Amino acid sequence: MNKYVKLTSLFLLIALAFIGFSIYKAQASSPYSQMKVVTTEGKPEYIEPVDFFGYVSHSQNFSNSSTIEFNDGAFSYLQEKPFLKRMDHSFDPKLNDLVDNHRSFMRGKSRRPEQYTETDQHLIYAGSKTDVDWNSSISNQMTISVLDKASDEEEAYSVTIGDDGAYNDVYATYIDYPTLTIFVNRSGVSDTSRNLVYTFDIENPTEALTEVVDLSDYLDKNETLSVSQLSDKTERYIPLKTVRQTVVSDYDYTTETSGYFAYDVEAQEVIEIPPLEEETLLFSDNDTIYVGKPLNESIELYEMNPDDKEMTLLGTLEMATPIMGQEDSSFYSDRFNQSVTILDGKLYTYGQEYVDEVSRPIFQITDVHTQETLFKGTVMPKDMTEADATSIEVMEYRLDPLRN
Amino acid sequence: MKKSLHTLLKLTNFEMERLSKFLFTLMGLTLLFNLVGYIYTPMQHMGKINEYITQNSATTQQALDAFGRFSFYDVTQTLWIAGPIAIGVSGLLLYSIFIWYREWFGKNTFAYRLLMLPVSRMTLYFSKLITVFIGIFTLIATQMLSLFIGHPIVSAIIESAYFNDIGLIASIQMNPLFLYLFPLDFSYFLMVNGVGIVVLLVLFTVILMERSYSFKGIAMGILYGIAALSLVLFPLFLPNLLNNQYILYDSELMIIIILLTIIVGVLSIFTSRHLINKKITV
Repeated sequence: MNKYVKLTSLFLLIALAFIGFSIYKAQASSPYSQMKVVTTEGKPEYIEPVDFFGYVSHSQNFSNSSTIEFNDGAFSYLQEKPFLKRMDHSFDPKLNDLVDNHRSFMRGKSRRPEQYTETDQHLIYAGSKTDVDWNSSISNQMTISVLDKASDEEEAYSVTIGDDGAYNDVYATYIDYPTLTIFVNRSGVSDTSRNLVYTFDIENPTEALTEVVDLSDYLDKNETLSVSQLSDKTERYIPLKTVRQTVVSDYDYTTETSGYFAYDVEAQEVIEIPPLEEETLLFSDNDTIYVGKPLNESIELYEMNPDDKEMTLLGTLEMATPIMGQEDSSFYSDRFNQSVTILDGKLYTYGQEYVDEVSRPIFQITDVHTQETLFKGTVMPKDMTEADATSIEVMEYRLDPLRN
Repeated sequence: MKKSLHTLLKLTNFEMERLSKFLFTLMGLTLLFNLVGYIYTPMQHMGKINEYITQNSATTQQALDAFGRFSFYDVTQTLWIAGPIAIGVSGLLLYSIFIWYREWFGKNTFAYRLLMLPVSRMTLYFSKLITVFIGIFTLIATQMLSLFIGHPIVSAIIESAYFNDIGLIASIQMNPLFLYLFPLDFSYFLMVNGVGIVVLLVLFTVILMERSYSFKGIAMGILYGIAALSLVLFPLFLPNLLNNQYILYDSELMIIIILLTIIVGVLSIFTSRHLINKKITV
């Protein structure tokens, strides 16, 4: 036995170290700050439809930064998810839900959330071959796939879009079942791209998409189109705005909103929205168009009649800070209403508050009809000693209409 | 079965005896370098703070604003920790080659005696593989124990006002180097070590090819290595071949890579068995 002393000792050393390390690791607290929702006004259950991905950093220890997910009212860290689960992770909460719940349907389809829309019964995807195969040649074919959630059956339609060799970029999809509305930017044929709205009847499929409106008619030469971020892509009206770009130098340009519109999915027409004196907020919810005037720490909210464009003042919604309801310039330029939206009669807003070099998100949910604040609060570490040094930045945010 | 296991144990022990001096040197170097890091790095930091306070008549808060809080993580980031790990990894990699060639290039052709032993030649093969892995795990264990010793040393040297006690495990988890070495995420640790085993199996096969066919064997070995690597990395090209970037999920690609890595490992064992039993010459 004595001749095996070295081998035995090394085995014991390895076993001792690994067992000791595993026990120590199991007993040690998580290196990631445990978070909690702090409600300063209203009831915490109202925040449940909110999903977000955030970046958590510590001013005393920048190396210990991590990605936190808030989903279904609970926090989890990306770094603590299993290795293989982490590999399929997307920073878009909607895409994560789609992959988790409809993995088979999502296979082989683009990973851009704007190409998906859903109802309680159906999940619909619209995309072209170039969305999934970046080397493929441009064609005027598009695939529309419809998943019946109850039976898990998928129906796919190959349809033509236009008759030229344009590159088709689907940048928004909406469903008023069975009519699918697709916003497409077509480029590559002439010097300027065209923004077109197409429809497709899922119950009576045709071989080609039906062009209904050319939104380019509403755009001047230096203007681009921005589409409202809608949590529920089944709304009747789709808020749009035109953004004018002014070149300042070779490397810089400024942007300003030049017009507001709403696309009526049912009537298939564009409604011009008269802008308010200063900045204008434009929302839609179910069959209603809302127009807001952001004031210093409040939003004056109107309901607009689409027929005569008459505005009816609903009331003034007090905001937690002036930043609430304001657009963050760091967001995607082709979308707006990314931090403020109305869903089922409730105005959801979030903003970032900076106090003593610490950044924290503030969430507010207000009833648009009673102007009552249903929820106001923030997210911070459970351990209050960490609160003064922990910053939480929201990276991706969305509302889950099915949880509203 | 029992006899072959006993032979494997005896041969492994024999190989360990031969590795022990080199391994103990690496362990000693690891502990020594780490110890210097545990003492020198925090003392250097405290020295800077004291100098700043003396020269600027600064308060503790001003010194904190200027230098921040020091944590054990700051020590794990230094070359005093990463250096011995790099030396250990490269040392054992070189030893994996040396473990075979020493049998041929010693004073006597010891390979002749080893290969003539009345035991399966694969027992010899596995004893060498196990020895290298015991060496790897011994160095990892040494590094683990060293960190357990280092944490209280660092916290004792740094004054509490300047120390950010984020904990030993948090300090380790924040350092990506330890993610590969320590079982922080067990599935990841298993995968990294699995890849390590297969790399060794391929390396052993290449060496045995060279020993079996001389110069022609070098070319065969290089080709085998390239083929093994190509096979393992092949799934990464599948989305392009199938003309769809999203036809497979990343986790599925990883599972295919893992399966192919296992296949390469098994293939290497069988190729080595063929070479060591039928082709190798002394």
